[in-house]
Amino acid sequence: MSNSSWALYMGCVIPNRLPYMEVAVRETLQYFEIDAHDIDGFSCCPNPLTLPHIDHHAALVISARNLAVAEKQGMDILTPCNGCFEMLKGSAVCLHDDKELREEVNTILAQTGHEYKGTVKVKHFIQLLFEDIGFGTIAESVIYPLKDLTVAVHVGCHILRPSNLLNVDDAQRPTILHQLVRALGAKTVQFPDEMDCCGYGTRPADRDLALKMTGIKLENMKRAGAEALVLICPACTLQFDLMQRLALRDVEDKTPLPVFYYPELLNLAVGTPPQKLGFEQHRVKVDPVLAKLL
Amino acid sequence: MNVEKHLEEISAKLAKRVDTKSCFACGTCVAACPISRLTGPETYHPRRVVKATLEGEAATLLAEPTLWLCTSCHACLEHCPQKVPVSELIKDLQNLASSMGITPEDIVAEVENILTTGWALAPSEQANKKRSELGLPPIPIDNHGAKDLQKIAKATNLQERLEKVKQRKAEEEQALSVTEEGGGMS
Repeated sequence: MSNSSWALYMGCVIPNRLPYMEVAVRETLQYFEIDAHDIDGFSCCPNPLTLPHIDHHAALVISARNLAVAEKQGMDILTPCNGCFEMLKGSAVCLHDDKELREEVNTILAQTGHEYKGTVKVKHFIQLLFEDIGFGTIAESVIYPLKDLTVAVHVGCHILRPSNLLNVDDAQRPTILHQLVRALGAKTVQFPDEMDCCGYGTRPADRDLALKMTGIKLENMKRAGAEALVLICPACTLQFDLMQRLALRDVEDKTPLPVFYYPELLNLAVGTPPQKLGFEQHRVKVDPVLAKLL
Repeated sequence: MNVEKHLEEISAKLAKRVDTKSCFACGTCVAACPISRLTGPETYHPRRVVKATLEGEAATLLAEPTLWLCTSCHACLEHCPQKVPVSELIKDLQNLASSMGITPEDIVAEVENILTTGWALAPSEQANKKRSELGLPPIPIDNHGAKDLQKIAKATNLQERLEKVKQRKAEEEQALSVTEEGGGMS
């Protein structure tokens, strides 16, 4: 167990577009008595899909500002968003390892009244589940096993790659999410292109191409026998849940595939009342799966 | 703008991080790329980006809209047997395109929003309504972040690049209207 006190970095997509994910995160933190706090002063991570593509050095400085905000409170950063995780962890690793770069960044940060000493660790919320809480504790906490449920899992790119910076799981054959789902009693399938991007990253340049990628993945998951999709990233959730109807427009099998955020299933399994979790805010109806589980 | 100088800087920086010259043109990055698979390698081809850079021809790629199709999944970088950071190279080339005023509108709009509000998605009434239905408090509004970000944008190349994009767009619109006027008069 880590001794850290965590500064919770929720990002912007979860609180604004997918607040039910925030509920599931907060319920999980409370259930496992994790020492996590909301702190003032954070800004955009910034979004690794936009700002660094115009100026990656500016992105590093903005990211360092967030790290400095947590450092001043003596806290490490815990984030449930893959994009924020890639940006903040990538920056933290580069700035820890490269003193010259840190000095360069601090020259600019001084104009905002911040300084980053290079001490903050950044952890993904899902990483906390398997590293700090552990598969065993999770499995032991289950009172309503999700038996007879078969799902596809989609980890998302930005918790894994670039692996030399993020170093969370095998970047080509990750197993953590499969194991986390199985710890709740459900089964996972494997499908072709499991490691491919959800499509979200190419949205700013080509919306139709992004939807095509999403549609193909959904089809492959259903073909492999999945009754639902389990994921851990808000950007992937926007593609797979909010955009699902559009993504299925050009594929043959238009059956909807319910989408769950892993901590929602975890909460159901440990006995959090489903009414608390906001399932009605999903775009694709999850009732058929809930009816089976509850 | 000195494109050659920028390219030299990119090469020097990449060389410091990892040797781009170690690319032995195996094409694994193309096979790993989900965009290449869908658009066809004739449209999007990561190895050609590496090749052009090595041959000092990267400037020819900067005006190509396809440069922005990269979905940043880093599959190319991860699969490369020589550890060439292909997706990082593409990002550096996009930075260079931005310094010439070439960037997709959606990216510019979001970055401007980040500098105005401090976040890619700013708190909205609609978001707070959804939150209240779940018993969550409204998202706190804090403008300090945005002010700091504006200072950072000015101290780096970000502000200048955003202005360059605007300038280029204005020039293109003007050129278009002149053409239309000319067409009308003849």
